[in-house]
Amino acid sequence: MLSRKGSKLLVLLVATALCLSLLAAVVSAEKVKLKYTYWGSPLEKKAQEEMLEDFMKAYPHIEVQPIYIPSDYVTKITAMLAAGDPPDVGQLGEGQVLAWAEEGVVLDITPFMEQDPEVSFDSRLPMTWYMYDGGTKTVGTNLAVEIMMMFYNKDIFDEAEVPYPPAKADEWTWDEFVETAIALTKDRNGRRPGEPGFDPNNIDTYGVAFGTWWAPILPFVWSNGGDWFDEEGRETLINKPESVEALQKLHDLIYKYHVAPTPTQMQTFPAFNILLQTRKVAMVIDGQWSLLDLAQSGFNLGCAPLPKLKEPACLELGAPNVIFSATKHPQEAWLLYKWSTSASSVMPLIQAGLWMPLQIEYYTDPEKMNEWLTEGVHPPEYKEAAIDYALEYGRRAPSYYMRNWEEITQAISQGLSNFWLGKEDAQTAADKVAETLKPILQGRYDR
Amino acid sequence: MALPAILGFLLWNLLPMLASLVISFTEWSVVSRPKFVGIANFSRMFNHDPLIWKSLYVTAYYTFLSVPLVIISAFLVATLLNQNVRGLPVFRTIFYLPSVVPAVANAVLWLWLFNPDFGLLNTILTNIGFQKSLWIYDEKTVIPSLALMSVWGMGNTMIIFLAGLQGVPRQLYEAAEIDGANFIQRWLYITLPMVSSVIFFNLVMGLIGTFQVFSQAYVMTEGGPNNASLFMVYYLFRNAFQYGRMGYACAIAWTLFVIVLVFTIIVFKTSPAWVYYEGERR
Repeated sequence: MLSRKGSKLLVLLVATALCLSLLAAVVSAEKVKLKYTYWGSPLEKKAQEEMLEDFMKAYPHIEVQPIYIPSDYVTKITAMLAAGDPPDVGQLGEGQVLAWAEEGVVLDITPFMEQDPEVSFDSRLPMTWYMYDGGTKTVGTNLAVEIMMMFYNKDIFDEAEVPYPPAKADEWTWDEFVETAIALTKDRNGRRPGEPGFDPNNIDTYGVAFGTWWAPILPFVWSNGGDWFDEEGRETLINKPESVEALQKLHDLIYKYHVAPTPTQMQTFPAFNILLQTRKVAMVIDGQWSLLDLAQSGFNLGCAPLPKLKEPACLELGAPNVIFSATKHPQEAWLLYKWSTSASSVMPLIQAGLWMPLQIEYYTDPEKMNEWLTEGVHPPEYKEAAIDYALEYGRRAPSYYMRNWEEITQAISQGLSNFWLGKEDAQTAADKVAETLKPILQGRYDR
Repeated sequence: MALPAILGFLLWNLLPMLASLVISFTEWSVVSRPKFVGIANFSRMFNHDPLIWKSLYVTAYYTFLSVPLVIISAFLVATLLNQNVRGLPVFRTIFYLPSVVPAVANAVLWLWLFNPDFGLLNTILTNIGFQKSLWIYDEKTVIPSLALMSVWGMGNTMIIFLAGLQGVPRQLYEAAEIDGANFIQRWLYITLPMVSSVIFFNLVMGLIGTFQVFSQAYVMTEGGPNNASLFMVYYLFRNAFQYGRMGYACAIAWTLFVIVLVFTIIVFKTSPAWVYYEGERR
């Protein structure tokens, strides 16, 4: 039994606690609370947190809780959704976003755009929009623009007395590229491919290295006048002559000319920036994002567009930022969405080389360009090799519109694996892939 | 006293199991509302998905290669470690050590060993005059390679065998020795029957565990090359978390459950013929 005095004290305590919590509720009711989820490297985390802090300074009535999810992102977001506690704004994978939009989990932003001219189809690069519902709705654009391109170590070129690749997209032909790669490749005894006594099993410096996932490969198929899917996204063209020829030419770099490492050799190689820095490889085909690491690796970095087979082609890709439908504060979420995708608020990441801006003016207006091009990060030829290349030839990756994209990429990488290992010819492998793709191809979100 | 365990089983095992059984009859992408589709997931599996057959074959192939390999080598090593040699604890530790290494670290280590160009295994092969192998990068050798790798993690099985071997009464050996039985006869007529129940246990546990193989495919091969290591649990994982087909993934899980159950029952049913229990009447 509590004494009389004790029970009085208890009542008082409870009352105080109640008042305090009421007060807290009133105070917090004034501030709109939003949750923002994202992934990325530690550097991205820091930059995103700064971006959110600036946002809260600009809009003092909004409080944003950043939630950093470096791994298993989709699984965690799924769990948050299932638990009824989803984020308001956040990044989402290309493989999920449009399926989720159709389910109504992610908002269509066209109503916001009608009210707010600050974001419009004309202001951002045209290939960065994720369209669905037959092309009438959009969840928005990438968080940032990325393209596949070429990076190289200038010192290796200088020593081999090979001229740098042209920075203009339509100037570098495939044959010239192969010649360059041969001239840069060197075995243990200093012999080049084609010279008598060249030892392809003991190569000290490879001319070029590339991954065999879809993004480094597809631009060459495009460049050769081919594609992997038809206009409607229902039939595959991967085994058509244009595509097979492009695959074969990339394959020849590894097994015919011996200027590129095999996939099994690549397994043991360190990251591309280390390969270039240690002169194991002279050129690499990789995403623009790798500029961040390359620029910090302390070698004489150069960059170029991808060489062309017939016509120049540039593959653009990137994961979108979206507004989740469950948000209780759509207007504030829209403000945050706008802020997080505007180049000026994520400038540190753009200047560091990780991202490219979404807004067209940053590609056309020299003054705006100077805001993001950074000495010591972006090589002098970057303007032509990346900016003009993206603006003129940039084409959205199939991840922007193909249904079942994750399954499609699996089918392609599994079906081509024997080909890249040098155990199957291009036509056989492509025919097999075409067969497995048949039931998986279910059309496009934007048609 | 058993209440926490029972509650734990009900809440964390039985309930999710029943939930997944229900989900296996729906089309559900987790973010959407589940839609009841009857047995569509199961009929899709049997009629429209060649990959599920491939994954079933690959998983069974791996299991029937790996389980006997692990049991035989663990038994042999346990027999050796049951001898009276100097530095016994050291040897026991060495052979158990790989089981303590986390699965992913293990996988990374073996990626190096298996590398066709710079790997240790190929260096050994070429030095003793054999052809290089592509190991996990070849459709034909990927499963045998992974089975070979599984022997490396036999520590737990080995410890159980060791305990079983030490439980064999000494007087049996002494009596046999007096009767003139040599080493092989003692092993065949005393050791083997006396530890047959341990073999049985390890076989059942091995089957159940190996059918659920996942991390090798997830970390090392990504199911490749050409889906040659697309284990069932890995395919299930892809469906559930990459393709957004939770219903189908649950249907695969239950199919796997039934398969493992069938094999376990077979082992149990045949066990009276080859497992000897002390105190059992014949």
